[in-house]
Amino acid sequence: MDSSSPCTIIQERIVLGQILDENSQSHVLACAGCGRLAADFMALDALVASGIDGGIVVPDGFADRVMAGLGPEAVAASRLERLLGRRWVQLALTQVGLAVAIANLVRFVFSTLMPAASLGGLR
Amino acid sequence: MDDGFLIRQVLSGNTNAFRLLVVRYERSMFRFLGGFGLEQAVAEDLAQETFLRAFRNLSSYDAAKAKFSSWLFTIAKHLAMNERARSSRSAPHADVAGIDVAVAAENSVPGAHAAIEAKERGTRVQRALAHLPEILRNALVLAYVNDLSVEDIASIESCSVGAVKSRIFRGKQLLRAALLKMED
Repeated sequence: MDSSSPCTIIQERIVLGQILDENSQSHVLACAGCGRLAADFMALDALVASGIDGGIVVPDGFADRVMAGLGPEAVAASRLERLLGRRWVQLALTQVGLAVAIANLVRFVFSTLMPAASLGGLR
Repeated sequence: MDDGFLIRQVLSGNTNAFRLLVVRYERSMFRFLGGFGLEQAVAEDLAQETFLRAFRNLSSYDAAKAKFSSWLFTIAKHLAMNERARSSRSAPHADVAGIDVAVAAENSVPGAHAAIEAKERGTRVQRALAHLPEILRNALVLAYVNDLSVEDIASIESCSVGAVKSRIFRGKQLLRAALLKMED
């Protein structure tokens, strides 16, 4: 079958579970191959959609349990993380860090290097 | 209320807005986790962990890169795959679901018939899914979960839309073959 034939395109849409336009639906009704494939995959989709969860259900009060799990610590941690994630906070922290580094450098120069130089310790 | 609004509310400190996100996605989350063949208790733990991680990392979520649902299911997928890997390393488990169905059928009362049929259907689908290669199974499970488009699945699976289409196509063909084989 030609990869761009109507049957190929329509069958691909059927298998992917995509909606068919009216022309395609008319084609499916008229074409034995596409009609058979549509019936097979509609049955498959119905079966799988009803059984894919394997009987797993949302327990009663699940949202309450999640909200209780957030707790004050998680909320506080999340707020701190959000705060640290903000650009202006990051910039401010960077500038504070830079100021501390410069202050340490100045202190080192004035308290260690200059006295040592005045005593002739540096050559 | 759309996801974006609720996320902005949570980020601005209204923690209760997160409850609406949980309620919106809890059903599809459990369907999704059920598709990995997990037991109820494990699925509950993973679903809760998924939402907690989403809450903790909400500030790193980028709406320009992915829909919230895609981001959420990506977290769930990683947790589910880790759980599957962990449980497959431990002792192989018996087919508990099959035993449950048999016991239930023996003790059936008229009103329980539909429930037993649903359970059997679920067991059959789970067994057929278990036959598929992981990448095909993941794509199929995501495809059968509500609200996920092919583009969403591509985002979760980190692959192209074309690859997702191909995986769903091939996955459904193999799934159908596996189900037919089980009927024989």
